[in-house]
Amino acid sequence: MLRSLSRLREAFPARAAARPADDLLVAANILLGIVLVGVILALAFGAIALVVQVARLGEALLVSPLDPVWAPVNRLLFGLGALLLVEAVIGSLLAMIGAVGRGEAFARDNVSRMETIACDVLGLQVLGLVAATAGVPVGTGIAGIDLGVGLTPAGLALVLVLFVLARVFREGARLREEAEGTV
Amino acid sequence: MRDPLLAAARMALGFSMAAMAFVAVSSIALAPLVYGWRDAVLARVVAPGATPPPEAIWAIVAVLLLTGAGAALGFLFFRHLYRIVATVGEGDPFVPANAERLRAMGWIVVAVHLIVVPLAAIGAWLQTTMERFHANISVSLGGLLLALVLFVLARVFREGTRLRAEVEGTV
Repeated sequence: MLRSLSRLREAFPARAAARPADDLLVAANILLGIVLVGVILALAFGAIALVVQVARLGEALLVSPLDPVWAPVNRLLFGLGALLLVEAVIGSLLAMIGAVGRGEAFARDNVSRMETIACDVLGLQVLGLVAATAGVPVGTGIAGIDLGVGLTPAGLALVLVLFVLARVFREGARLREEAEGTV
Repeated sequence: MRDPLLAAARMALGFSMAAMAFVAVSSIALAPLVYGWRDAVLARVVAPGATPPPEAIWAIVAVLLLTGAGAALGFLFFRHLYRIVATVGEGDPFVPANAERLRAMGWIVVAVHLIVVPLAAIGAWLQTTMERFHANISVSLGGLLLALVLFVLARVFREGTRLRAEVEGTV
């Protein structure tokens, strides 16, 4: 949660900086902002629901987490985990778009952001796999937000493409440093 | 392909292309067959004893054709991505063609969403008309987000192409 808040702080100055740049970046920022607010609200609802569930079940939870008693708690835990990852992806995207708006698409920061996004999306796939193995349905997520959790061929292709993009950004950063060095 | 990351990405994208091509070809090929055997098809999808509305067959054909068109666009999307990954393998991702490919991919995502709107509407209608027809199609905010990110990436690639030209010009 703390990490998520620091991401938010990181994202919003970037948003402000990108605003005068152009329509495309503004549109991307607005849409990402809407999704980010939705995800943060869902995180808050999910956290409250988790506290309520744990309080309601109380001592009934003193059994193995694989016991059916744990089902609603497990669903919320996996859902919250997935939401945190989604939130991290959106935070990184906002920061990257902010950098593009400032004309710093190939800053070294963007290389690591791209890698973070790839790892987070991979995390979502792994989370989906673990949830499926444990028999926890997280597909619909919290508050009706589809989190895209789950191990799918398309998801794995996306992870690979994101890692390739990270490499492309590294190449761009190298070119940028070269260009600056030669000026 | 010695690089394992690029080899894996190419394999995954090749698989996606094949899956999309299969869906596109089979659903478009199925459309005339479904129309040809319309009585048998309709008898299977409605509850026993119920009579299906005659326009239902056209709705099913439309669903098949729209699905085929969507899958064909999906094939093009993955083919663009495959070619972009190939240029990374060749050691030079910042060619003007890649910016164009990313822009085209952004428009493909927009087009797929335009296809999904009537598809979801027809699917919902079929579901209310027939008991054994299940539709699970919806327009997603995530998809529109993807289109925007692709357009931004296209811009980033153009910037990369400019930088590369600059570096080459100064050597």
